[in-house]
Amino acid sequence: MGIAIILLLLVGAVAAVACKNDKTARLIGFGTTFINAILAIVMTMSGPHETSLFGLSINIGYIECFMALLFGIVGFLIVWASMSMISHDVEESKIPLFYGLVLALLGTLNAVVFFDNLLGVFVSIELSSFAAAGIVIVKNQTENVHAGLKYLSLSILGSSLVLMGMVLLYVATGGHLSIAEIGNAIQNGGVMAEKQAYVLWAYGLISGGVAFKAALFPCHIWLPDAHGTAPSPSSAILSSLVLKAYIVFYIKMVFGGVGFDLIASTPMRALLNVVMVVGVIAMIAGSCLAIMQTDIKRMIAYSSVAQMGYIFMGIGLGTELGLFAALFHILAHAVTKSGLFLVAGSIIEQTHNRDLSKMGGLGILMPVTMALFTIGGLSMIGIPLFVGFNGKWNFASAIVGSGNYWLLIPLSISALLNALYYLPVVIRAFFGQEAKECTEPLGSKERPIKDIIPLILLACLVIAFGVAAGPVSDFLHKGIELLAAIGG
Amino acid sequence: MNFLNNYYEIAAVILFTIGLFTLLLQRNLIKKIIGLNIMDTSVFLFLAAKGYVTGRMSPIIRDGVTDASQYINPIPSGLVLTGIVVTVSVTAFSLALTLRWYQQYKTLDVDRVVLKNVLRGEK
Repeated sequence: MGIAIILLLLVGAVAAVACKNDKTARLIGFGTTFINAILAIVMTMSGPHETSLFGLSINIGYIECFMALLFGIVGFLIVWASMSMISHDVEESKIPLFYGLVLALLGTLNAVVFFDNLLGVFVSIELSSFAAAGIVIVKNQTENVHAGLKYLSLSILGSSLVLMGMVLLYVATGGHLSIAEIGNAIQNGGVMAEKQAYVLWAYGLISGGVAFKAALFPCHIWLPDAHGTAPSPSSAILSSLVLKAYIVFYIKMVFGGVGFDLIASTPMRALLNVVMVVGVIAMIAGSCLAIMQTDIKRMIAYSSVAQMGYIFMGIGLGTELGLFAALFHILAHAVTKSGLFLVAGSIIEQTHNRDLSKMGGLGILMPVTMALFTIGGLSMIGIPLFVGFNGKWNFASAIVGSGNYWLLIPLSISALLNALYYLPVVIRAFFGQEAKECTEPLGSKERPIKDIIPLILLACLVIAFGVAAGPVSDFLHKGIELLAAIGG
Repeated sequence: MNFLNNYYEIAAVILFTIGLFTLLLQRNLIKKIIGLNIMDTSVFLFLAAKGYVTGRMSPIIRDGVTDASQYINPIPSGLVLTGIVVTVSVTAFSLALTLRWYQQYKTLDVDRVVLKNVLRGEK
């Protein structure tokens, strides 16, 4: 089933590029992502299994199913929303190319998560970097070329570091290139004791590479350019899905490869402490940089930097609860941030204004869109009833469980900083001076309701996972158990 | 630690560092792309050196020998080949982008363009 998903998306990508008509390309994009979402649901129903593609092993566990569902459903909603939005940003002749790149990107992201063999992972990571840089450049403006070039070179730097780490692991484990075999060699074969320096260097290089690819704070310099200038549906895909695939690969490498027991008892602990501290710095610094922005999309992009900090902090705790919090926050950030980027795209499309200080009174002109922005903002701040609250609650309980109580301070400061940049926009839009003086009728700049259905569905997901997170939590706990057993 | 026995690794690490710093610190885009290539080449050197095992044959059945222990593992060699293909395509893609960049800005100097954008009030 995993192979079917990858092949379906790649065939869809070829079909979308091959057709010259932009309407057909839209339908191919919509149809392929819809079938992909259904296949992901069917795969989750059928449970974990192992298979292989081109002789490279694929190991589908619960975490892989979870990511496939996320790519399937969120990807489908973003592509649905893009059908009406994309012509604002991209020339008509480039639309088939855009859908081809999006489908290829989703296919390779699924492959990054599914592959157990590191050769397959490496090839998929490289291919996804191409497609991701492609959907930034497809807008064909000067600043997009600048952003795309920066993104491409830094993400290739990241994958070179990852490859170097993979090679070191191959050497250290005596010729194993699959995560399950590496885990077995490290945990049961005594590799950790004999070749500790090799393993630590390998994981250090992989952490550095993933930091570049997933925009962990000092390595985030490409993200605001790429996410801020890309077409809005591309920004939504880049921030909610692309970053997450590399993080899940990292999680599989660390917790499937080294395992919880060895992390607690070896110098791996020190490496993960570094990841944790850098994550905490990213949480604060990302939010501070977001407060300084005047462009709405750059502000949301810097907010992604802060949220990546949360996820890396959870991984760095090195406990099961920390890993669970990181995985749950992947879901929370994906559904919230994709909605926020699409809302920002709608605002820019309708008012031709990206400047945050000129957004007063938008609550009167575009009430539904601004309500969706409010839901997204409240979820990112961490207000109860929204999914972001559950994410942050999980982090707090993981911190208490691991005994690092000092981490609660940056966690609460960061929530406060989040409020400082989301709430002023909302307040100015609904209750500011411009809103009181606004003479235009209510909802005069609103987009047609059929175009905002996918945005409303994303907001429904934000509330649904905020109110009832139980089934997801159970599923993730099962996934973590399976991941811990992979090399044991 | 015997430096003379590990000269492949030493060479790979030195090349990797040269490439990394060329990529990060050079202001000229073409030089950045050259740095990227040096960096990737060092990884391939490392991988090819590690894939070779003294006394074993390349993994093509020869003289009817089917015992797997007589051959090297083909996966590192496969990884090197894949990596070379990827690097070639990355280079082509970034050179195409550089061409577009040059047509827009009439320079290859990154800092000058960034400075120009800042002076115009864009970030």
